[in-house]
Amino acid sequence: MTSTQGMMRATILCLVWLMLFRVEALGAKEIKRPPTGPLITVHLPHPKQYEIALDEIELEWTDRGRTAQVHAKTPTMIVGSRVVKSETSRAAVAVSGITSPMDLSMMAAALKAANPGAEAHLILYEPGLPRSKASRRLLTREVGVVLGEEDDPQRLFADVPVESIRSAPGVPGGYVVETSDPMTALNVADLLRQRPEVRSAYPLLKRTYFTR
Amino acid sequence: MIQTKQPGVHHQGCNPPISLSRGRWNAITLIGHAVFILGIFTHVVSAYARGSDEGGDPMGDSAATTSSIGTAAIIQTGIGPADPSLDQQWHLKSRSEEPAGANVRAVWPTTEGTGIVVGIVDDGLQHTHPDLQPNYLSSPSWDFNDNDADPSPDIATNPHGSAVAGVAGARGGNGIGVSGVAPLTSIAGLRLTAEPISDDQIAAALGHRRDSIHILNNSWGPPDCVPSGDDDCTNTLAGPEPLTQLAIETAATQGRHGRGRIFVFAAGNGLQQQDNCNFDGYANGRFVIAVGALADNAQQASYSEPCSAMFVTAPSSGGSRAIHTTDLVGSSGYGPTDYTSSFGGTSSAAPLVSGIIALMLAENPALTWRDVKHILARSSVKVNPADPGWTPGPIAHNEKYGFGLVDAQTAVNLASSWTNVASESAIPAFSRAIHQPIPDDDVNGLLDSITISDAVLGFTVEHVEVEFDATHPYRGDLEVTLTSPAGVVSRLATIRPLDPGDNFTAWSFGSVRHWGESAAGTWSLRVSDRAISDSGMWNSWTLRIYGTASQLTLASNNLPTGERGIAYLYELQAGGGVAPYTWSRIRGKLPKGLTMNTAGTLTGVPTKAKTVTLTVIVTDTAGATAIKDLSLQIVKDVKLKTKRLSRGTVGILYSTTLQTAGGMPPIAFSLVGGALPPGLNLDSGTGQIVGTPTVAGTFEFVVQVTSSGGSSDQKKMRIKIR
Repeated sequence: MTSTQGMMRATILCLVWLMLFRVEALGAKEIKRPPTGPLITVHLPHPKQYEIALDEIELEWTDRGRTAQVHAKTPTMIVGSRVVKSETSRAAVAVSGITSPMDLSMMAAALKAANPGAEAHLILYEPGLPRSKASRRLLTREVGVVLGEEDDPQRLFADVPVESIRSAPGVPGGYVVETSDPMTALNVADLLRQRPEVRSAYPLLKRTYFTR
Repeated sequence: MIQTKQPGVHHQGCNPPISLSRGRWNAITLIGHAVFILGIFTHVVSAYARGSDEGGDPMGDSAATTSSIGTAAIIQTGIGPADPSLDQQWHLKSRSEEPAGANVRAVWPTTEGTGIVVGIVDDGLQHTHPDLQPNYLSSPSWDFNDNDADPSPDIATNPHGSAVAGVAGARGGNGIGVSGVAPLTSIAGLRLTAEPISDDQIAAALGHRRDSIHILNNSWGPPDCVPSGDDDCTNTLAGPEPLTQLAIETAATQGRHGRGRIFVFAAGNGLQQQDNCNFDGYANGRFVIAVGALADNAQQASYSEPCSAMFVTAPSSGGSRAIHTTDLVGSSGYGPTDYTSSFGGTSSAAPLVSGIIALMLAENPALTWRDVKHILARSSVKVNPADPGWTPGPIAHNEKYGFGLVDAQTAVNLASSWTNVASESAIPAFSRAIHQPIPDDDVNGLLDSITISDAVLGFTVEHVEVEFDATHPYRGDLEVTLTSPAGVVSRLATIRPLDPGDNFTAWSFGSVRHWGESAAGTWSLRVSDRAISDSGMWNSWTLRIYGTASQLTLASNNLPTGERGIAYLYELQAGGGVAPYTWSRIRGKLPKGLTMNTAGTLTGVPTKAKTVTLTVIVTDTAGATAIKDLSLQIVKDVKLKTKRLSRGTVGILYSTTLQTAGGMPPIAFSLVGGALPPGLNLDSGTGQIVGTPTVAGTFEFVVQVTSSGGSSDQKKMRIKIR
């Protein structure tokens, strides 16, 4: 082997090593998962896209007594729905035949009506991420609102379709606005956010947090 | 089921001649010595009588005299810890005994955390556990999942909070099990993470009883990308939403009767998946103490996420031993007994720090939330000093270790004599719009800078926040670094191949790495895309700097004198604080014709001579104020009072002095018309006309007097010379 060949070989080896090192250093990128449901933008308060799962609804009994636990174990299903998993006060429900958020909302309302005391949350996922507890959110029918401390929410929201308004404990100027259903919560949040007195208005999403 | 299953211990002769129930050191009376044999250690420890649990502050320096009669190892405590598993709690020992020991036991003769309440925000707290029950406080406890007053966990699935609580505040010296870092601190349980939760629930928990729960331990957060169960592992980007942000800020600044609640968060366990705690908006916040984990060999635990917002590290799992703490009673939980030796993660490191803070606050309840941070930053130990990640300077920082390994004894010693730091100041936010594509797979990327003017000279940095906005289809490709005027680099975003999410939308990165630096100068942000394929756009960034401003002072003393009818202009002067300043008059009337604006400019033409006292306040951008009484005199304009001059004689010395009224000295005299008799001169400084006339006649002339304040007067005069 000539010295030139030797140098070339060394250079190639060096490049290969650098490439390998780089791959190892950066690691393999997670493959981005294409969304399967329609995308919506939620302001939390900054805009963030979520994918609506058209095949899932979650029932939650907010009264956590023994009766609720019994209900959660044996929720009443309607046509096009089946229980996938039941925990202490929640039941994950698979739904089929749904092609739009409006249909999904109607299905959720029907499930809620069939299960007195239950809330029917829609399911959102972070787009691009695998469906998991980490990427899963429950779209509730509540809206978090922050006003100036002097502002009166009853007066400000008199013309908005809300069911109730309560103070958020520990948060000066913070309120939770209850609407009729999750899709209405999205609309009400958008409506309230346009008002000059409203510092933040966003639908309340439930998610799992993890111990460390 | 409450069942005590004590592991076998070598614990002979450990009952001192008084009760070991650990109350306050009320009336300390030396009553004897007791020999304790704890494991291989033999000690002679002075024991003291105790009063009741009521009243009195912990007594510090009168605690034990300790002498070793056996091995070199000493348990430096005023009363022999009787907990049989204490010796397995390596994390409580000194660094001379354990490389990663937090030096906790040495503090106990001084303070054990009495009177302080640590809230454990977690998946529940088994308050019936025999080692937790004595310190459990039911009144502030709450279950935010089930909305009732009992934070007990679901024993089938939620053992975590009870183990966390044991690290911070398991009852010590009660003859069973283990001791918490603060053996006499009170514990409140706030059950929150057992179910999916929304922002209002988190806000309610973090803002709960903000005066009576002094420290809030949070060994939880958004997912860390630790593969488990059926979940795929991807990194996430998540932080508190508006209600929680406000709840944290309110509790941190107004809680604990104005001194501020202390928020401690576990920094996260995702290092092996290249996670970084700056992607966790709970841990990287300004009001939070983020805690990383150190293995028992004093090395960064293999899972412990680094970040520039990391505050301190504390011992945990990751080496040959994990943390020995309380477990759910019976067969539930992590193991078959009421205790576990396998607890760890940053979950365990955080309550260790919460416990140390409880000891600090018990020693000095006047500490503010920022005092606690200052003390931890100064008292923590620089582990692995050869690591290249340490910043230079007396308060060194390392993204792996924060300000280092916590040292309870040094922290409590500092706390005992600490003077409160000045109020927090903020430099007004600087924003930059960028709107440029980030070069793909290019280490140099884009660079932009913000220069903080010398107006904030003397501003000492504590927390830096960078709000970063970029559109990118694979945000894990991006690396973001901030370089301070001193050249210190914060790696705000490190690449995360397991983060396929879109965009950074107004994401707030945090850094405490520039603690103690001066804010003035140029701060640079570099954004680079470090992976092939997927490219995006850097939209904007905002720099916010929090810290301590030099003291605001009102530099002007008495105001310059003005003259009636003459335009007056004076700009009030301030120094220190954070410019620009806002001025106002809170007492005293300005002389007629004058006004004062918010920029501190006094201007106008005074129409009346008067002396007034004004009380003036200056406010800087950070809200600091300074007040001073300032005197302002407006005098009458100058007048030449002399009307007639005496006669003179040729050859005889002539002398007279012109008289004036009003004006401000010095008054200048000048001849502006005609001529004096030959041989006479006018002294411009004194107004004296002096000399020996040489020619007879009547001589007319015009004299002008001019005040240094600007007014002037003229008069036509004559002198007859015979």
